[in-house]
Amino acid sequence: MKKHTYIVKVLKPHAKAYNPDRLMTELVRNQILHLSVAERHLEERHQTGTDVHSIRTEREASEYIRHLTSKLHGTKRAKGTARKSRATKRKSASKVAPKRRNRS
Amino acid sequence: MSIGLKNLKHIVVLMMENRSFDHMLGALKKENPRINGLNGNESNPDSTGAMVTVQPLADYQDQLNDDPDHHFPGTDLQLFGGQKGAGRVANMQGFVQSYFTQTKNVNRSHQIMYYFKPEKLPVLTTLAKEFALFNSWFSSIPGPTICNRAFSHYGTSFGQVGMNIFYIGKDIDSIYGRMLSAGHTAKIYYYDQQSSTMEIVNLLQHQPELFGTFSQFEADCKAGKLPDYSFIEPAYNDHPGPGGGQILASDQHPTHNVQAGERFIGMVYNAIRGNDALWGSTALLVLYDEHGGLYDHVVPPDCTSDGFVAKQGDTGTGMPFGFDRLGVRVPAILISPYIPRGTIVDGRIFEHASIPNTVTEYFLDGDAKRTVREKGSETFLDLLGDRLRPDDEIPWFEFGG
Repeated sequence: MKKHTYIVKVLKPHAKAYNPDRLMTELVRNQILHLSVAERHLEERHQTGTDVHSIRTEREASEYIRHLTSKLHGTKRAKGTARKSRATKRKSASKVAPKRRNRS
Repeated sequence: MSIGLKNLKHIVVLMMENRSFDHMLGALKKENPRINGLNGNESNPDSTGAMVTVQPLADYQDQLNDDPDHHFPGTDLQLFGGQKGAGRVANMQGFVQSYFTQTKNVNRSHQIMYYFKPEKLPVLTTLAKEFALFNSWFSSIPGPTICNRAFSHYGTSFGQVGMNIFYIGKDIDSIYGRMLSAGHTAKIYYYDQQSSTMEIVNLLQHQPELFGTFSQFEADCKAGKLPDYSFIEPAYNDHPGPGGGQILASDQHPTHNVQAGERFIGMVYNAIRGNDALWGSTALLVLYDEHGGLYDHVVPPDCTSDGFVAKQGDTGTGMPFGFDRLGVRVPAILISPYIPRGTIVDGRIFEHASIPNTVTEYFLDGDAKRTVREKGSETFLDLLGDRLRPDDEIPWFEFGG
């Protein structure tokens, strides 16, 4: 391995920096709202039926985003542009995302 | 044409989130007066009328727990200090007032004037000092993330000043579409599937060749398989990682941990730096999408309109917006071994439309439909010179515990 002579040390964030149970940022909220529109154009078997308005934390958001990205990434094109006419029963975020842990 | 430009094969852009130039790099002016940072006496009035001076008290996390307003009306208040109507002049005097509307706490509203000591940001400050730091790179719109990121992908936001993400069917192609149509390679690397990319919905027609994860970016760098153009997105949320691990948001969006973003910038840099052939043939641009509501002292200049007008009902200010003024200044650094140490880019105005414009000019000889604004924006590859800097001049980041 190459030996570097000009080294800049970078410290690790504090162990308590990790907080997936914080409320998601507005940016992430918008991200899931937009993904929820894309979800309507997926085949029904790939839809989560999640009520995205019930998603509150970064942990819940990341699980929803993971599901949608795994379905969209590799999909050639979202099917159609029209909104689904048949309403899909919506699940709360806790049905697709792991339960939120209480923090001490 | 310089030797650095002759050898250039790859352009990589890493766009972080929501930090202003002065907040991150303003302190560097004390080390180098050519950097247009802070003198230390810049101030804003608070809600009681008392003047609040900038202070080097910015911390990594849990300081800006109320996300500072960076929507169009909030940024308007920050720029104009509450002035309304024709003839008003931007003065950058409304940042503390704006933050007070969220915190409802006078003391906490002062945090918007905090900036980082250079030693707290070893990655960003090292890169700024070692390569080319832009004194005047502005966000494209005095507004939030999505419309600003759109300028980096399309050279326009198609008239949006908010968070609408859909640009499907518009007649200006993305830089990725332009590249693929001309037989070039391009890719957006998002952190992982739990974080994803803001652009996945718009660019589905280019699936799956257009998207990769950050671990694929690192592998592509190692294998020398980087596309001609790459755009990297940090992790936007904290989430569980593989094998019980913990992934921290690395976007530096308040109140995400700024150190985690520092490490991410360092990892992107090291991935390129670690492959000698790639290092000598790549230009890496590190920048931020917008200011995130944080103080900067430079008044954003007017600019060429992109031909759109946002109606007064959409701006939230009671006035239409003709896309003829740039947003608040952000940190931007161009990195290449062909850039002399301590380069300060001054007297030229850059914005996010400069990104697709530079890529289009370099790889496509300018052959793509673009807005007048994108075509007229500054490009940045002329900063690459003839001298390849030796290894002992080039930093390497070592990540400690």
